[in-house]
Amino acid sequence: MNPTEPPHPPHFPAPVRVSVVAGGPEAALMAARLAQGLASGARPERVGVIAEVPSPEPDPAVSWIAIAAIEGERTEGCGCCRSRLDLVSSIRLLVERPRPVERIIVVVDPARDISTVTQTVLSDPDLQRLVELDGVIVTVDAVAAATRLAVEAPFAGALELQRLSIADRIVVSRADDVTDDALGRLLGSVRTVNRFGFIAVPAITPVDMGLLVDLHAWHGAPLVGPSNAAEPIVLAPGDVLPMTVRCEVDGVLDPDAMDEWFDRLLAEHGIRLLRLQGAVSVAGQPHRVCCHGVRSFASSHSEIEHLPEHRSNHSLVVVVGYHLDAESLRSTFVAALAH
Amino acid sequence: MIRCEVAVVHRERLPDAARHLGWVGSTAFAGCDDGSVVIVGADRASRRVLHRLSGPVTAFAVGHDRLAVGAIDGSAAVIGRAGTEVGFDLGSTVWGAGMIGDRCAFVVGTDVVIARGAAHEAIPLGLGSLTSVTQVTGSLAMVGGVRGVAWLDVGLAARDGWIELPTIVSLGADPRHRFVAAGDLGGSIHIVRSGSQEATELSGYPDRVELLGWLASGGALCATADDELTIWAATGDGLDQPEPTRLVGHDHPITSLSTSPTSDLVATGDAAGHICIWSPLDVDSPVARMRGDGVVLSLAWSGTGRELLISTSLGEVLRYVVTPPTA
Repeated sequence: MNPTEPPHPPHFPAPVRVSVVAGGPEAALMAARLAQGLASGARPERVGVIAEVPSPEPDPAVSWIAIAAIEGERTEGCGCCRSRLDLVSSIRLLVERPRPVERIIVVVDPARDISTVTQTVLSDPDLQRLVELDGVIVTVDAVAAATRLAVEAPFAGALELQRLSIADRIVVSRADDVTDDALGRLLGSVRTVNRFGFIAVPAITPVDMGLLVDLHAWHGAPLVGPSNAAEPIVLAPGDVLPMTVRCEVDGVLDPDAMDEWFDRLLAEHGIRLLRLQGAVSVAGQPHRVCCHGVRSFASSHSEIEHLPEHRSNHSLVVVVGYHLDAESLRSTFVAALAH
Repeated sequence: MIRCEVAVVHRERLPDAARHLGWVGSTAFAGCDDGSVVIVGADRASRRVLHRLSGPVTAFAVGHDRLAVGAIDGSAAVIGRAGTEVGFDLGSTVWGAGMIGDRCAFVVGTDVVIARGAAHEAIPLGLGSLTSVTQVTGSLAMVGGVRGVAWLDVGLAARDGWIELPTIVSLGADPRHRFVAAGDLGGSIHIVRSGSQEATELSGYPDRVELLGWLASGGALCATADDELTIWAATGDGLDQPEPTRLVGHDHPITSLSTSPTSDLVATGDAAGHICIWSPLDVDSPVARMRGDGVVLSLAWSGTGRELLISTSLGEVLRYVVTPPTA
């Protein structure tokens, strides 16, 4: 793996951070309030929001772009490399101007595939030079989820499971309108689907904006809870639970073997990969190499960007996706150790 | 070594970035992110905002005596030299516009909206979301979308066949009316002979083929993808050589391209503010280099091919006089 650096023209010394907010209809409201908070905070920021709906709480201090999604394919009929053209145009519009925004919030419509959004932000060449993905925030309406939980189907479908499985922050709204028992079961179910993210329940503990932004969550090695913390999952018929596979090993990995492992992962699982992230210690590299990706896209860079004086020989890659062969992924990862 | 003389004759800073530039006769126009459509180069006292859309300008097309403009929020207008002729609310983002004969075509969602005077009519094309439109000849246009391209007879307001392709992001019509080039999201160009229902694929670009332009003679097609600029020589049979000529001059993604309407000069601009003018007589290096103060958002040659307009992300607009190359 040779870390690659995206080019940043001198006009944009720091890429603009992008937070992706997804969930039910409440996601747009949360994005509007988050944007208002950032625009009127102690250090006011110029904030842009991109959504498919108008702002539920218009604010002249926030640049809100309401735009219809345009999902394109690089190859006819191939879902592993879909891209949101509307996002590329909107982000360029917010950033390439005399007073560019300093932060962007992208609201993902409940009927849209969040992976298309994260893949676009990470892989589009224009967006690689202009922005960086800060984190994925997913909202869950406790009342709606608890109602579904009562009939043993807490999640609204595949798209909700998908966005929950890759979320860096999960904000459970209206928790004070459900019973403690229902909330407990809901939180257990959410934790089963997602092993990355902090689960916030504002009705119980107020949530500071600092918990939702400046996460740098798609860089470096992720913090992943152990699988034995998970509850048995209840799914509606037909729904498939995304898996989270944690591959780790102590020691220096062979670069060729590691390249082969990543190539096989992308080739064999491509369309089924919702998130790929980690940091690996590779022979010949002075620092660990961080990687991240979605579907068929992956990229890497040196960990020195995050941890200047730190060098660990611990390698960890977390893969979230469907129908993964966990044992094979783990065993071939360990087999990549240099001898 | 061939060189082209360039001299800046006008420089101004607009309140917001101008993502679209164009000429109607000798008058230069800019479509800006604040929704305004302005005359470039008018002195400050007499500078006129010809029209103000209610959102950033996302579509801009120039005709002989009029402009068609559309915005991200669906507002649109047809503007003459004297000002707005007619305004529309098309309800959704206008992604492209074309002046085709005496009509204007706006790309909106899955439809092309054809406007003539104050009347307008939506034509669904069955290509999914649409991205672009270009005039081919007379009232014949080609429209690109996420499922391919379609021929559209704007005079009859009717689709006239389509070709299934990957998502199309750019279109360029040969000035000699023989071919249309369509750039796709996956890094290929599809060459369609006028009126044909088949396309020839030219592949191998590192990313989406964002910008296309034909030389005025029709002798070559210019295409960009990321920081790569290539020229495919064209004959009456098509563009069938195995490799294009690669022009090396940009180290950053190319963000704008414009071909001169009168000579075989090509102007390109990039994300770092570099502008190059190229001549097929010397493909080893640009025949002129200029510099803007931000990302080059748009380039537009005047109808005479003697002036070049440049806009950048910092709101700067530059007007250059260009003297054709001399050996």
